[in-house]
Amino acid sequence: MQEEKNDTNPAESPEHIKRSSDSYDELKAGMASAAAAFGRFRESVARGMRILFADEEKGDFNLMKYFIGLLSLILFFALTMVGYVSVKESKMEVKPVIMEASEQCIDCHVRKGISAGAVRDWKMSAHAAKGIGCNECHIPAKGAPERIVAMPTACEDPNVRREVSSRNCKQCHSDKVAEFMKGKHSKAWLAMEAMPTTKDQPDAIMAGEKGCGACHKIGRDEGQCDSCHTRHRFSAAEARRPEACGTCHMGFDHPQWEMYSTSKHGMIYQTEKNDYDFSRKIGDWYKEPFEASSKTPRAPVCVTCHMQDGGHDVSTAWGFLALRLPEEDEEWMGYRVRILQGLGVLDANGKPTERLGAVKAAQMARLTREEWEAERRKMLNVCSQCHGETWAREELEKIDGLIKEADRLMAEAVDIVEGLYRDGILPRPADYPAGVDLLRFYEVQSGIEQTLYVMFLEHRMRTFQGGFHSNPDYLHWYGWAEMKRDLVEIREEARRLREEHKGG
Amino acid sequence: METTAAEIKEKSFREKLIDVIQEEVPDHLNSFAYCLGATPLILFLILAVSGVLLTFYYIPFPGQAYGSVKAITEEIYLGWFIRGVHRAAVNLMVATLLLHIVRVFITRAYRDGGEMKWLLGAALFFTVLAFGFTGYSLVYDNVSYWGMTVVTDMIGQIPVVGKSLFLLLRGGEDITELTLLRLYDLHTKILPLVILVLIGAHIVAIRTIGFAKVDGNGGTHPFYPEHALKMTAIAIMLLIVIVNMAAIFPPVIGDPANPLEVASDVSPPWYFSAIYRWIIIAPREAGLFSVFAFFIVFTIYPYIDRGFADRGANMLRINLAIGILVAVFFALMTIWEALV
Amino acid sequence: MTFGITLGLGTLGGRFIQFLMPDVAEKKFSEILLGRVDDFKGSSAKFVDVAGKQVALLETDQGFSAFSRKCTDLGCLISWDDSKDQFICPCHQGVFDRNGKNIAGPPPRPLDRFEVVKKGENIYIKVEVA
Repeated sequence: MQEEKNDTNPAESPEHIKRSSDSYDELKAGMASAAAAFGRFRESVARGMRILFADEEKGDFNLMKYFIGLLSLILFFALTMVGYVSVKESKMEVKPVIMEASEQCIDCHVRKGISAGAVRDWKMSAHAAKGIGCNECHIPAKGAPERIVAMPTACEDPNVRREVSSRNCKQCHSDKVAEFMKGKHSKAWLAMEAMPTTKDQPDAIMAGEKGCGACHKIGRDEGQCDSCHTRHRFSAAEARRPEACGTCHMGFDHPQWEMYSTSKHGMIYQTEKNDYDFSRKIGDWYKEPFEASSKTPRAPVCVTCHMQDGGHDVSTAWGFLALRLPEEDEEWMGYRVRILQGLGVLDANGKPTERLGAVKAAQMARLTREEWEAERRKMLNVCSQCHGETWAREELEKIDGLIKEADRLMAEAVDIVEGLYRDGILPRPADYPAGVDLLRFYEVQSGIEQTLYVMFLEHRMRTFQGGFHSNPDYLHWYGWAEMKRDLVEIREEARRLREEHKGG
Repeated sequence: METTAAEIKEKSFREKLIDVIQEEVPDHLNSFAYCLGATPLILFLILAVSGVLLTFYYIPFPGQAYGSVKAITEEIYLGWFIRGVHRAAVNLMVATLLLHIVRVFITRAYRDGGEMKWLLGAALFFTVLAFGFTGYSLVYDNVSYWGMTVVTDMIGQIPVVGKSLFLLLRGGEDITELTLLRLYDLHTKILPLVILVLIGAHIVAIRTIGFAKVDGNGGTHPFYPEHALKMTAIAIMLLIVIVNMAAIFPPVIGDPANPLEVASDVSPPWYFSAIYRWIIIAPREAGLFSVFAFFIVFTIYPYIDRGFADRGANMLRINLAIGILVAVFFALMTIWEALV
Repeated sequence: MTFGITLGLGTLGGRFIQFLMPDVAEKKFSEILLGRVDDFKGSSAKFVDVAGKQVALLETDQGFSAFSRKCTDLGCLISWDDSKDQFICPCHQGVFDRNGKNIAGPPPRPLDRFEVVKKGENIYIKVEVA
C-alpha cells in the first residue's frame, strides 16, 4: 500500500483533515488492488470458458479437475438447501377410523348418494377419529323418546332412525347432557308448546320445525345437541363462536346477535376473530399465569358469559321475560303484577293461574331470591374476569333500574287496554284469560292489541336486552323510544275507541 | 496406430479397454454445440435414477395413482424433490434433444455413410417422445387422462396399423385400469430396454462410422481423460441446474382425473404443444396425415438429402433454411398453445 | 476433484436414500371405541378389526383384555377355541391361554396387548393411528 505525501504541512493542518486525506489514499490504493484482483479473476474465468467451449486450446485438465471439483461443491450446497425447502404439506388433520358396522352404512349411503354430506362431515369429526360411527347415534339407546323410536325408517337396518335423541349422546357425554337438562335450552320445546296460540299456527311453523320450531327444537326429545355443534362434524370450536348462537338468538324479539355484533365487545370480536383459537376450552382462556396471546379472545363472546367454564346449563338472572319473584320494591312489584296479569300468569285478583306452573316448568323466570342472586353472582364472576366487580355490579344495576322504568310504561299500557276490555269496548272472546293476554302474540283482533303485544315482545325486550348486551342504540332508539311511541299510540287509540263507542 | 489382427488378439482385456476409452475424438467436440449429444444421455441417466426412486412410491392403479403422486409431491420427505428432478430433467432432455437434432440436421452430420446414426437417432427421438407421453399419463390427473384419450385416439387414426395399436395401448376400447397398467409397463420396463439398446447402438454407430468431418484444424484429442472430464463437468452443471429448478419451481399436481368432464385447461406438455395446436387448427384428416408425413420424411431424410445432393443442390443452405423454418413453426405453435 | 465429486454426488445419493426411507415419526395413540360392555359379555373371545389391527377382546377377572391376534411365533392370526378356552394358532399349533400366556408350541412369549380404557359403559382401546 502506498502512502502519498500530501502537500500541506502536517504540523499546520488540523488533525481531522490529515486523517481523512490518509484514508482517501488508502481507499484509492485499495480500490486499485481490488480492480487488479477482479481483472485477474475475470481473466481466469475467461480462460476457463475458452478451455471449456472453444475449439482450439487443448486444455489444461488440471484446471478442468478443479472446475469439476468446484461445481461439485456448488452442487453440494444446492442439495443442502433442498433440505430447507418447505413444501406445502397437506396432511389431513383427522384420520377417520371406519369400523365394520359403519362401513356398511357408508357403502350404501355413498353409492346411493343419500346424505353424502353427513358422511363427509363425519369423516372430519372427532367421533370418526375414535371409531364412533353411525350405529352409536342412529340406533336409539335404551329409554329414547317414543317419538323417535316410533319413527318409520327407510334403512335396510330396521333399528336405524333418522333422528337422534340426546340419550345416545348421554352414553359418552353424560355430564354435558346432565348440565344441559338443568338449563333453559332443554325447556325450549316445552315453552313453545305452552304458548296458547301455538296450536293455531300452521304445523310447518311449529312441529314442522320451520318457524318457531326450528329454534325451539333445541329442547325437543330431551335435547338436540347438534343445534350448536352441528352435525355431523360436531365441532366444539364451532359451538364456542358467537355465530353458532346467531341462528336463533337474532331477530324480532331477541336480537342478541345484532346487538352483540355492533356492541363494543362485538366489534372487538369482528375485527380480531380470525386470530382467536376456539379449539381451547372456555375455562382455560383466562387461567393464570396468563400468557399474552392474540389467540385468546380479548372481548367476551356469547359462551364467555352464558356458558362459563363450558357449562351447558344456560340460564340468566332476568330470563327472557325480565321478570322475577319476589320483589322488594313495592312500586315495581305493582308494575310487575300488572304485567303478570297481562301475561295471564296472575288473575284479576293477583292470584296465580295454571300458567305459573308452565312458567316454572319451562324455567321462564327466577321465582326465588336465591335463584336470581345465584345467576347474578355467576354473571358478576364473568364480568370480573376482565372488569372490576364493583363497576360491573353498578353497570348491571343501572339496567335493572331501567327495567323498572320500562315496566312502568308497560304496566300503564296493559292497564289502558285492560280497561277497554273491562268497559266492554273491546270484545273478549270466550277462551281469553282474565285480562289482556300478551302470550297470544299476534293472534289478536284489534290494532291496539297488536301495538300492545309488539310493545311487550319487541320493544320492551330490546330495552333491557340492549342494556345487558351493551348496545346503546338498541336500548334507546329501538327499545325505550319505541315503547314511548307505543304508549302514545295506545293512549290515542284508546281515546278514539272510547269516543267511537260513545258515539256509535 | 496400425495394429495387426495378431496384435489385437494378444492384447489383454485391460489394454483393449484402455484402447476403447482413449479413442481419439475430433477437436470440434470441444465446442458446446457439438456436446449436445452427450447431454441427453446424461439427462437420461438422471431420469432413470429418479424414475426408479419414484417407482418405490408410485401405485399404478387408477384409484390410487393420483393419490400416490399427491403423496409423493406433498407428504413424503423429499418426494417433491425427486419428482421435481424427474420433471426438470425431462424438460431439459427434450429441449437439448431438439437442439441436438437441429445441430445434426444443419451440419448434415448424417452424410458420408452416416445414415445409420440418423436412423438410430430418429428411433431414439420417437422413443423419448413415447417416454414423455407414457410418463405424463401416469400422474392420472385431468390433463393425464384426457391426454391419454386424445393421443391414443390419434394413434388409432394411423392407416393400416392404427386400430391395432389403439387397442394394444388401451387394453380395450375404453380407458380402463388396464390402460394405466400398460402405459406404466411401457414406461418402466419396455421403453427403458428399447432405449438402452438404441443408445448403445447409437454410440456404437458413432464409434464405428466415426464423426462427420467439420471444417477446422482437424486435430484430435483422446476421449479419456479430456472429453470425459468435460462431460463430467457438464453432468454436474446439469445436476446443479436441475436441483435448483426443482427447488425453485417445485412440482405441483392438478385436479384428479374426471372421466365425465374435460377440463378447459387441458393441454399437453410443452413438447407436444406444437403438434397439438397444429392438429386443432388444420382440417382433421389433413392435420393428422401431415404429422405422420412429417415424421416419415424426418426419418428417411438422409436418403432424400443424398438424392438431392447427387443432383448438385447445396444441401447445407437448404438444410439451414428448412431447419430455421421448422424451428420457427414449432416455436410459433408452441407459444400459441401456451397463450390459449 | 475427487473430493468434490464425492461430496456432491454423495449428498445427492444421501437425498435419494432419505427419500426412500419411510416416515417413522412418533406414532400417535388414539382411543377407538369398540362398543359397550354388554356387547362383549361372555366367556369367548370376540374378534374386532380396529384401524387395520386385528384384536381379540376377552373378559377376564381383571376386566377386559385386548390382545393382538398376531401370533408371537411368526405372525399368523390366532383363532379361539371355545371348548378348550384357549387361543390356537393354525400355522404351527401354538397355544395361548385366556390371559394371553404362551402355554404350548413355538410361540416364545405371550400375546401382545392393547391398553383397554373403560369409560362408563363404553370400552375403548388404544391403538396407533397414523
